Amino acid sequence: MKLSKLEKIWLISVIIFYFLYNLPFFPQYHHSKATVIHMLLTVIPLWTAVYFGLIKVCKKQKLKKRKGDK
Amino acid sequence: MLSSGLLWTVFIIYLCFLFFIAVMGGFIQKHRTKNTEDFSTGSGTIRWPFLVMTYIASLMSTWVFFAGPGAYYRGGFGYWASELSYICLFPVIVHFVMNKVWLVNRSRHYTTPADIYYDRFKSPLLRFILALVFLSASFPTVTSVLIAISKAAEIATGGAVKYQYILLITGIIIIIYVIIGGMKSIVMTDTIQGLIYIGILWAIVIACLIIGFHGSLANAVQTVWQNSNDWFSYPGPNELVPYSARFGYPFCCAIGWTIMLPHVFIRSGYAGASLQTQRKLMFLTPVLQVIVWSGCMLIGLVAIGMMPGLDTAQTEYIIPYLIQNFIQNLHPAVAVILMIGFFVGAVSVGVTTADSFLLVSGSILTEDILVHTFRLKLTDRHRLLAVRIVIALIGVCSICMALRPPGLIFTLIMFANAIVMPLFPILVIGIYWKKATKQAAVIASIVGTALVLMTYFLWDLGDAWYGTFGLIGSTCCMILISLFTKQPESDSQEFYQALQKGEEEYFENTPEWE
Repeated sequence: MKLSKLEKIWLISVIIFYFLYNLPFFPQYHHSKATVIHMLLTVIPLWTAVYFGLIKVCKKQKLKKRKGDK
Repeated sequence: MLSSGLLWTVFIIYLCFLFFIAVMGGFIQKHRTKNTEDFSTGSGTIRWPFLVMTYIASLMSTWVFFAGPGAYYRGGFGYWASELSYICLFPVIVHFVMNKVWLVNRSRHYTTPADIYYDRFKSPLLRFILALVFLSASFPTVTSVLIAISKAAEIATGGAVKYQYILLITGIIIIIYVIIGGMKSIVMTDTIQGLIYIGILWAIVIACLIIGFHGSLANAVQTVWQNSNDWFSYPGPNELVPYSARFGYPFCCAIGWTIMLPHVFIRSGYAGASLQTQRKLMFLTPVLQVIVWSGCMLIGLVAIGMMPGLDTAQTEYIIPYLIQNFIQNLHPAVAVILMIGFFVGAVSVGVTTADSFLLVSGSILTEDILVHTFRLKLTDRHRLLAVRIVIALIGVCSICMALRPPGLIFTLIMFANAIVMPLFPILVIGIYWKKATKQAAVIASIVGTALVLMTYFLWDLGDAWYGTFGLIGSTCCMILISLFTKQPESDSQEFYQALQKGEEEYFENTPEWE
């Protein structure tokens, strides 16, 4: 099984953003503002990467129209 | 709180409604159940609105109305962020793994999760081990859900309704309608009940917000920011989300909970009617998960804003606690309505999980263990009968276990999620690497499972790392042992041919993107 270039880029970018969210020791414990900023800067890009990639991959890998498909 | 008469009335009306939906489902679908594949997986005919709703409904357990909001109370904003970090991984995992499973299944017609592993590796021992692991993940969940539903009745009436009565009735009703309708009646009831509990959850959120903070979310946030500032930071007010758990818990949910638990594995891999259906599942499921978990998070936020400083035991039942100790004093009528909502919500979210687990457990025990391991020779009709008998037996065992309930619901459910994690790399490597061998798969499944058990019972790290070490262990075993062992290519030939055939049949432009 081989992956297309687009799939590889998608997978790697999701892994990178997931790693960024889980960067150990960041943000510091008991630091509310840092936690909120960290969440905004990592979780939103992660979601964006997932859905952007998903839309791209679905567009690229078109499905055949079959009888009974709605 | 609620009188026992009122609770019984609500309960009976709800069960009648459930039966009505199950029967209507049978009429609408018109399709008669012919064999165990049909009974257990719907034979890949489930359309997208039903697939998405049955997936979400069976995924969410009574946790939504019990420990879930309490976990947000104790874990805070960071806990919500960690939920969001794994929810969005679902489309990626489905695209790279479960859609391949779906493609192979179109020509191989699997019934249980272990079927696809057997088809790839041709190892009866592997099938037996996987069946045991999947069963061990199912039993505690069915039991814990029955416990939670009965507890909900007990709490809602302040002990006026006997736990045992609700447990017996709920358990028996679930067993009956699963036995009669199989996957198709479950899909229909799941869809309706999923909508019901999401609606009830948000009704509770809005009511609490109106009563506690005059309907202003900004007010609630400001109050918590000032009075319980730790709620907005790691590791949360009760130190529930240290760095280790921030990774370990979402990772466990992404792999174990949303993909590998047998009831959701069948939904995301076998049950969908088409690849369009699979894509709808990929797009919509994360959104629905966010809707549910954000509801739970807001209840946790409102609760800590109104009643800071509660201990863990009190937060396990935060919704009824909030209703009884806060809303009851201000608006008794609203409190009654919310308590009914809590009970109905707990029943609906619990029933959807218990029925799915019961069905899949029956299939695993019959197909993987009785038919394929002990070589019981049965016709299609007798197999179907055997699955139904086994479902009844498992249901009765779960009821008996729930009659003497173990202490922590949360640990039981999380253990189930963790124990299936090591099976994920075996599947992924099996799909993407032709040189992966059955020897590696058997050893990886044993080592991975042993590591999860050690994480929980030897090292006492289960609450932070869940099945992570098991998954790493099984991945390493799978790769290393495959490099040193060999298996004839003919063993996996049919599997890869089915995958290739599926890709050619369903995609317009396979060669271009390969």
